[in-house]
Amino acid sequence: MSLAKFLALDKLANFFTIIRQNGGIRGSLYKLYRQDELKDGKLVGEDKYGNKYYENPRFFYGRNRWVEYSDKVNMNYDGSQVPAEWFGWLHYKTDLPPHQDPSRPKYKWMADFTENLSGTTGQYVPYSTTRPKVEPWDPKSKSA
Amino acid sequence: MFILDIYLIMIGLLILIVGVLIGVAYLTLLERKVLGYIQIRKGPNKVGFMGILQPFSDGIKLFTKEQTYPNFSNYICYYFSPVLSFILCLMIWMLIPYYFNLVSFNLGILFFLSCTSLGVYTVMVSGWSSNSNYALLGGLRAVAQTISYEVSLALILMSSIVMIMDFNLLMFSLYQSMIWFIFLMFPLGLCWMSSSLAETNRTPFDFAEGESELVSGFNVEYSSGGFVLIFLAEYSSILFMSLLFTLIYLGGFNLSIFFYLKLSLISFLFVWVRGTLPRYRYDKLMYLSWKSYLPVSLNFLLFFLGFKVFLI
Amino acid sequence: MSLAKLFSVSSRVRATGASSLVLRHAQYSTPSDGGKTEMVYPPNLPGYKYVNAEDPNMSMKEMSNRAAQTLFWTELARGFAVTLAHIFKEPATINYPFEKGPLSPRFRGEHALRRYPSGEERCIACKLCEAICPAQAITIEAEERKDGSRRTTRYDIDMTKCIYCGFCQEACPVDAIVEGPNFEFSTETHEELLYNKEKLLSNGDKWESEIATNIRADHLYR
Repeated sequence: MSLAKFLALDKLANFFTIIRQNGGIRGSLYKLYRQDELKDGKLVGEDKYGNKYYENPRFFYGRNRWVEYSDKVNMNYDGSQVPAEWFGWLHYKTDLPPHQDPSRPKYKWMADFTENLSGTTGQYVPYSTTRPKVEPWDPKSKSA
Repeated sequence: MFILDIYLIMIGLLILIVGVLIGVAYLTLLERKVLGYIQIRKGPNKVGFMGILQPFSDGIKLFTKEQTYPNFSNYICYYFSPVLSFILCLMIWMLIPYYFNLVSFNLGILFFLSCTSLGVYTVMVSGWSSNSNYALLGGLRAVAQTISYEVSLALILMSSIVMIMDFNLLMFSLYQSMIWFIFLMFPLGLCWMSSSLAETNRTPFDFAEGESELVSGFNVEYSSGGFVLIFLAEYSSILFMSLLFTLIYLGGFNLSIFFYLKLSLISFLFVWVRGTLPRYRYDKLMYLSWKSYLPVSLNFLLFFLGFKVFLI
Repeated sequence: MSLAKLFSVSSRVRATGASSLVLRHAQYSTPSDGGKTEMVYPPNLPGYKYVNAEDPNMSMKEMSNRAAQTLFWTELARGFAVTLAHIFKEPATINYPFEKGPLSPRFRGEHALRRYPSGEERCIACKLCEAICPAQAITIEAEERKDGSRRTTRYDIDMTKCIYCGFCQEACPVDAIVEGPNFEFSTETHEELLYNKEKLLSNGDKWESEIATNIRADHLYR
């Protein structure tokens, strides 16, 4: 074992890399407060909402890949804010992020992704999609 | 004494109590995080900045929950036993050996022994007045365990008192300026540590709670308010036992930050022991007290008496 | 035998104290004949294990080990060292909203109704899914559409009745109803979980990229 590893100097180098990558001391503290975690990683891609996706094989499987939600949402991040294209990569189903995956379909009827809107005004309210079976008698309409 | 002195003493006590309560709150956080890391997981880390506001959120939750009581319990005893145990555990903190602005006890050790002996009553009464089998069983087992270990605790304390010839807690620091007592009486220090684990009902001697056996032991019928008081009393007695260990064995109180660092280290030791050892079987626990620690403490007492009389 | 000999630790025993098993010599053998008639119990052959209580080893090393264990609790210290080592190891917790657990393409989550690449909805109201659903969570009504094709007018899935078994997606002949990969669709009221056709179709439009990839990964096994 080299002297650097013995004295844990590589861990110290890791520490400085992490602080530098996360935006200095202030940025690191903000990230720590927001995410309870500070990691360094390679930026794999970014989607159109601003979520950034990172990967670092130094961590164990299950912690390799992570998302940092966009700054627009501040502390209101939610697990459902990950769009469909990045879902597979983040959940370790595939190794190809969407911009490198040629087989992802792009049809023109595919809708824009929204997060889970329950509890907000945009929530889904169920309604019947058919006409009612029984039509009540309408007193006003006279046949003759 | 001037009236100003009394005011100063009261303010000092108030600051002490607030400090103790905050210390107890963060001891719970320390315990959860250290136990988490021992079990290769993280403790609570979401609430504040990496979990630092967790005790406050726990406290708020416990205080705003509904206070229930069993219909067929003995209500006065049920209600007042956690209150009494909390009062005792705060009263015992008057012993902290500051040189000025607080009461200074000439017979501090005797006061400590009296308070812990009274604490036994509160456990028994809370177990009995809950009118539930498991609470009663938990309370009885806890009482038997506590009074057994108090005997060896007092005798081990006597050995260190014999070295100092004074009951005052301040004198411990005078006699440990050259060498700490832990180097002079290391096996006795280990026995003291173990007896204080048993006194505060901590793993591996936690029959009062007995989490996997008795659901929650003697505090099963207590909802938010009573539970908070019992819980706070237990953790503040852990802090106090750490204080005593540091005073008696690890160099007494010498007005520096290292005293508090040593105290924290001993509290960490309490949590570390909880994460490592499984619970004792009940009869083995009783055997340990009466047939192991009692002879050991008596023999060491004789040794130190002889040491003191003939050598110093 | 003299008293001294009776009470002294036998020199034979001490010399053979290298292993913890004590070799017992039978009474009629004496050391003076050079050990020729040495009877050894238990026999030193493989397959024999001595299970009765043994005398404690009286060599200096073993005695001091036992003394240290009694006075300084050495075996407990070893246990504590193991626990202390665990404190400094990397914990196995994943940080949920940022890191998520690994899933497989076959994972069954929120339902979705798919479309053909041209935009036409796949479902032809054959009602196979309604028939096979074990929890009877699917309700279908069908009518002829204006352009003459067979389509549903009502396609409701009650997500609180659904047991997420995946039978509907196995039964569908045109791959219209699928169990998508989404599992983060929790709601604050019960009514939001009674999905109707519009909701399911729009789910499908949102998640089509991922659903198509999952089907592509798994279609050989279906």
